[in-house]
Amino acid sequence: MTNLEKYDREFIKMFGVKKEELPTLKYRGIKKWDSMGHMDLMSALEERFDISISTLDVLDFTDYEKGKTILAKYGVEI
Amino acid sequence: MQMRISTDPLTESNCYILEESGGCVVIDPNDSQAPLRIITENGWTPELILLTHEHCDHMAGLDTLRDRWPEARVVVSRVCNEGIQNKRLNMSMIMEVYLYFSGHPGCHYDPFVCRPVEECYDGDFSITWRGHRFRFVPLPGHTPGSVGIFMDDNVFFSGDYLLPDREVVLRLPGGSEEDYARVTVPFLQRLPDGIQVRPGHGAPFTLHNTEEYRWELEHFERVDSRQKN
Ligand SMILES: [Fe+2]
Repeated sequence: MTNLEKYDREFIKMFGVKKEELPTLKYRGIKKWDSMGHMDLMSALEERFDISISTLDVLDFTDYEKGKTILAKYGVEI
Repeated sequence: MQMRISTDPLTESNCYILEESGGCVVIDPNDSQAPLRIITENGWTPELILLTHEHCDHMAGLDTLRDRWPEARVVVSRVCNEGIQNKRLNMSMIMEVYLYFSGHPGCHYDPFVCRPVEECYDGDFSITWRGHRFRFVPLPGHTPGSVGIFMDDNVFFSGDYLLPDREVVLRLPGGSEEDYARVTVPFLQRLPDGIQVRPGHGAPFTLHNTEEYRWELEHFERVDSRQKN
C-alpha cells in the first residue's frame, strides 16, 4: 500500500467519507471532523506512520491537502 | 470515614481520598503534587490506590505516590495497566491539543507513562479494605480499561461516565461507541436509585434512576442533565 493509500484510508475509515470528497475535506467541514475527531485522526496517523506530530502541527493540520505537507515534515512523502 | 476531593485546576479531574484511622484509599491520583500534599499534611498513609481508567488526568500522580509509599497496594484492571504504560492510550501524547481545544491554549503538557502495576484483575472483581468492600466492574467505551468502582454498594466512583453537564467521550484513542452501548449503558441504567455517584469530573451527586435518566443514557445524551432537575 502506498503512503497516499494509507493516508486516504485513515480519513475514509474515521469520517466515513468517500474518496472523491477527500480533496476538499476540512477540519470542521463535516460533523465528524470536530475537535475530538481531529485528535482521533492525528492519533491514528501517528500510529499508522510511526511518527509523533507536534502540537503546533496538529493545530496547523486544517485540511486534507495541508496534512500532506505536514506529514512530509516527518519524512512521510505522500 | 472522611472523603477529600482534590480537583486538578487544569483538567478538572477529581482525585478522591478516603481516610479511616490514618490510613487512606486514593482513587485516581490525578496530579503529582496535590494529592501527595493533602495526604502528607494530614499525616495519612495511602494503603490502597485505585484507578477508574488509564487516562493521564486520572493517574499523573500514581508513580509519585508509589515512590513515596512503596508498600501501598495498587489495584487496576489489566487493560488499564496496559494503557497507563502507553503515551497514546493514556492520552498524555495528545493532552496539549486536548487542553487547547478545551480552552487552555498554549499549555505545555509532557507525554509520560507510568510503571506497570503488579496487581491487576480481569472482569468483575472485589477487594476489602478496613472492612469496606470495593467492587470493580469493567465499563468499556470511554477507554477499554475503564471500570466503575463501588464502595460498600452505596457509593459509586464512575470515572469518566455520568459526568455532570458533560457528554461522555467515546472518540479518544481506545474509545468505543459500540462497547459503551453494548456493555456500559445497560449497566449504568441498572444502577440502584439513590446511589451516591462520585464522578471523575464535576461535583458528587445522588443518582435518581428515573425513566428519563435511562432514556438519556440510551440515547447518548448529556447523561447527567437529570441532576439539576
Ligand atoms: Fe478520561
